[in-house]
Amino acid sequence: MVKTTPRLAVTAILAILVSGFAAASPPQAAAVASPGPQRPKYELWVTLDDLTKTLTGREELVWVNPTRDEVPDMLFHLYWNAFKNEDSAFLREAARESLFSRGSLPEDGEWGWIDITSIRLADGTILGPTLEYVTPDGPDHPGDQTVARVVFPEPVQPGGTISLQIEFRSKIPRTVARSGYYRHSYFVAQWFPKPGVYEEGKGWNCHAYHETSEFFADFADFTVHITAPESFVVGSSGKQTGVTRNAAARTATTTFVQENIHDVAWTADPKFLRVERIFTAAEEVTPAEYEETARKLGLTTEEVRLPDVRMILLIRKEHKSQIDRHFKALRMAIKYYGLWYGPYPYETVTMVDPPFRTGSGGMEYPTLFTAGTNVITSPEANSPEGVIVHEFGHGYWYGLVANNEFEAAWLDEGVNTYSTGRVLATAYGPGVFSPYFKGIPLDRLFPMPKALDYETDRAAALQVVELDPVTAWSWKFYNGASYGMNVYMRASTILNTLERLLGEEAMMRLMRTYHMRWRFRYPTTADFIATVNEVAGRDLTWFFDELLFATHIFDYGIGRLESAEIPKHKLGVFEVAGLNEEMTRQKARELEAEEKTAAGVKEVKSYLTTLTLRRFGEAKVRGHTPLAFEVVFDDGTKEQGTWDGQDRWARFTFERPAKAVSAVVDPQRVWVIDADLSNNSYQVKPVRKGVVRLAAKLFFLLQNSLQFLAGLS
Amino acid sequence: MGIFGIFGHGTRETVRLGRVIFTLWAANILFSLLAVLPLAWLIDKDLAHSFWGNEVRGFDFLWVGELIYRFRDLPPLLGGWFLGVAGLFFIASVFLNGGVVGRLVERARVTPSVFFSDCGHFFWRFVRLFLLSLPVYIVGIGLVSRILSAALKPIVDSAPTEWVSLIISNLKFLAVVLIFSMIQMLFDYAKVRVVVDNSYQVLRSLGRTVGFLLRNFGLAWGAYLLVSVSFILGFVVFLNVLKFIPNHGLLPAALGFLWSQGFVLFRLWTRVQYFATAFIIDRDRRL
Repeated sequence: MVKTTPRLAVTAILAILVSGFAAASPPQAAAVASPGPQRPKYELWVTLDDLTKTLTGREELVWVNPTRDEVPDMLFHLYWNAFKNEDSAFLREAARESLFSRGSLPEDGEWGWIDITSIRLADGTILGPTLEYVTPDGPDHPGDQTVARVVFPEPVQPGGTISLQIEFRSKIPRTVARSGYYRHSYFVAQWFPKPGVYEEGKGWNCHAYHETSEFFADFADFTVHITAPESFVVGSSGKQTGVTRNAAARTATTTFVQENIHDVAWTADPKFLRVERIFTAAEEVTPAEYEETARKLGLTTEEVRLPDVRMILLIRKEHKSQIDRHFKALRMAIKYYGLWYGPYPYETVTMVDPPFRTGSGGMEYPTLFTAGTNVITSPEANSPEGVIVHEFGHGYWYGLVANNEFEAAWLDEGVNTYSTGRVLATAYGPGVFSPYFKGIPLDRLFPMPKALDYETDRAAALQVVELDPVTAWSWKFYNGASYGMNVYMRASTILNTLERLLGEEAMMRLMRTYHMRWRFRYPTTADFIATVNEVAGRDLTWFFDELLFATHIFDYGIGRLESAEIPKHKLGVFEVAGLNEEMTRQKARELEAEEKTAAGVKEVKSYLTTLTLRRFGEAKVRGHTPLAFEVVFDDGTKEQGTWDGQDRWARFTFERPAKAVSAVVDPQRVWVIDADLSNNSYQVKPVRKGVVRLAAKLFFLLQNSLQFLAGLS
Repeated sequence: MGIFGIFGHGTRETVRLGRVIFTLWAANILFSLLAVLPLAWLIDKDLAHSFWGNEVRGFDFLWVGELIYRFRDLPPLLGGWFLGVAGLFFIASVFLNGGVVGRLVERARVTPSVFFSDCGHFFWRFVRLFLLSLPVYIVGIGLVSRILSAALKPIVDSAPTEWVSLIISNLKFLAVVLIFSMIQMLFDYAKVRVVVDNSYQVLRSLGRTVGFLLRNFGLAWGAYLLVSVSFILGFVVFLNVLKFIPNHGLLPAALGFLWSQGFVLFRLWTRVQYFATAFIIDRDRRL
């Protein structure tokens, strides 16, 4: 029996309570499971009319109140009303960015919309009269109709359920964003009335559809019946469980089922090629890889073992030659996301080569994603590999770990950009940066530079640091570019910096813990930081305060490095045997000459080296995370030290019989977010090989540019 | 004489004008140095004392990204400098063209004084020709682009696959390039005509050139395309050899630089070759 004090007992009770809410170790990879109360259930029927480009739908929704509040109403997303007219928040914000000048709006007859034609409870109570559009994000866009509200006759009690039957009709937009059609090809996303997420004590989290926002919804169980012309190849989130044909109407109804996802998207195109393959874990992952991963994560090999996954590819015929390339990228993604973050918990994943001109490429939905490629590709650029890995990865970050994309977009975009970079670096190495000209990748004609993702991410991140914090709400960034570069690249660069700070293995453990703990849940930035602090074993809140929440440039560098000979005899008046004696210049020279010519004495000079380090930016290291520096001397010796980095500068002196030749701060390049890595090192004697090489290349470039001009003369 | 014969003849003329080509090369080097110096100074100031001064290789995203950030206010200044240098180079090119064509037409030995005398003698006429060329380029290329776009829009708008829009886009681009080269050819021949006739009536010379080319279009265009093809082939050879030159070491760097300058000389030779073939056809067809 263990003696306990009251304080210990309280601590023990608190520990038990906390551990009930936060799994200390990653749970076993399991069949789809979600902690917490019963999930909402959707059954959806939708018919695609290829002639009128409309959908007619019916939705049966059983919604569960997971909170202790009485819920009197429901707010729905009606996303397609963003494409209904110029009053929508989406199009007004796009116009402000000049993305959609009037010439770029849908043509007449090509707008999109969704109308709820009937809404009632399962017992027949009609809710239609209470239906109204609301603008939950304030008065900026009063005409926006992407959020609607209905009021229940009785509030839904805590833990209670409500069954709704909704009929809707929608017009597929020609192509504005993510959903659209072109001729007989369709990509259909955000297409059904979808409730927001009810948050205890706060109400419905249900934002309007903004130009730079994405989505947020409850995990639910879905059954979807899609009726389309029988010649169409249909793909959807979830697993296909059956097809029913209607010969008279010449249609086919395909049913898809999936538990524990928060969205369903689908596509239909008579021209798709459908190819299925299996990700066979035993073939893709070697025992050595399992062991290595398990060791790094501090887990057993059983805990990191991966299941097989059915991969379905819907690809355009003109991209047929790239089928193997698509599958290879998907296999790499399933393998590395699975090993590092947790096994993929669903049976299927559908990869869609977006139908031509539907504007639906490069987007993620649970168990389905769109990639995107060109008929002519570069063999060395990571395209389409990059987009395939990234969009599959969103199945983890957003699909499984379901952050609120309106309010914390970086938690999926930035985390996934970081993850994508790791997978690509591991599976493919640096990719060629190859812009296209008239559909031809330029690296097929000219040598083009190669880069790892973290390098290009950092280049973009530096441009927007001072504009917005990474954590701004999606539609509250300065502009679309600031949104994109902050939530994707800057967030990724911050995570790359964190990895270098903690070490690769600690970062792997951190990300795995975060993922497995928050699977099928809705983490916030605070939850991520708490996981970091827990796994790192120290408080790194300052790291996020400085880099994520603030708009501070991080820049430490070398201010000065110089060595001066220490004279053997100092000048001036000194007390010698009680009397003041002047050491004159003449006397000093004579003494030094004598010492120099003394037989058998080799002259040893002494130098005082002064190193000044500077903090050029506003962001500081904190939390006992000093910056390392190193000075190298001309006799080959080194001096290493650290600086706490708090003040604007710090001076270090070294006295030794050698001059300094170079100094570097942060020699391991931990702080890759540093805005000026070139000033992190200093060489007393300039070395210009690289400079001359670069200048010569620029010179040659200018020669050719001027010669083009001469052709016009 | 067929186009290959004309090409061979033209090559002999360009060899005769070797000194001229080197003069053009010197001008190109001078102005390129002027243009690159501020940038080279910035790079040196930034990197010479850094470890990157030794490490940086070409287009390095780590360095380029922070360069763009740190010098984000400089583009107007640098851009202004480059435009200024480019403008001066352009004027110099117009000036030097007079000497090139003059020495082609006048078959005497090429000396600096005679060359620059020709440059001065024909300068203002060549300036007027350039000014006349501007509306021709704008109207020619603009008109062709618009006509093609309008004609092909229904096909592009209803394209069933990516291939259709890709092919049409490239065909439009090719058409624009061909129109551009035809206009360039016209004004090359006009320069030759002005020099041969020693005419100050630039507009009249241009009119006569149009007539001449209409009568001899096949030959002129064939010879022009042959020179263009030789340039493309030379460019491909240049790129393929460049791939094999290592990126490290003093000797490879020197080799790489010499090979690049060889390509610049080849470009200048091509420029003179255009004039040479134009002169030969003009001379032969007028006789």
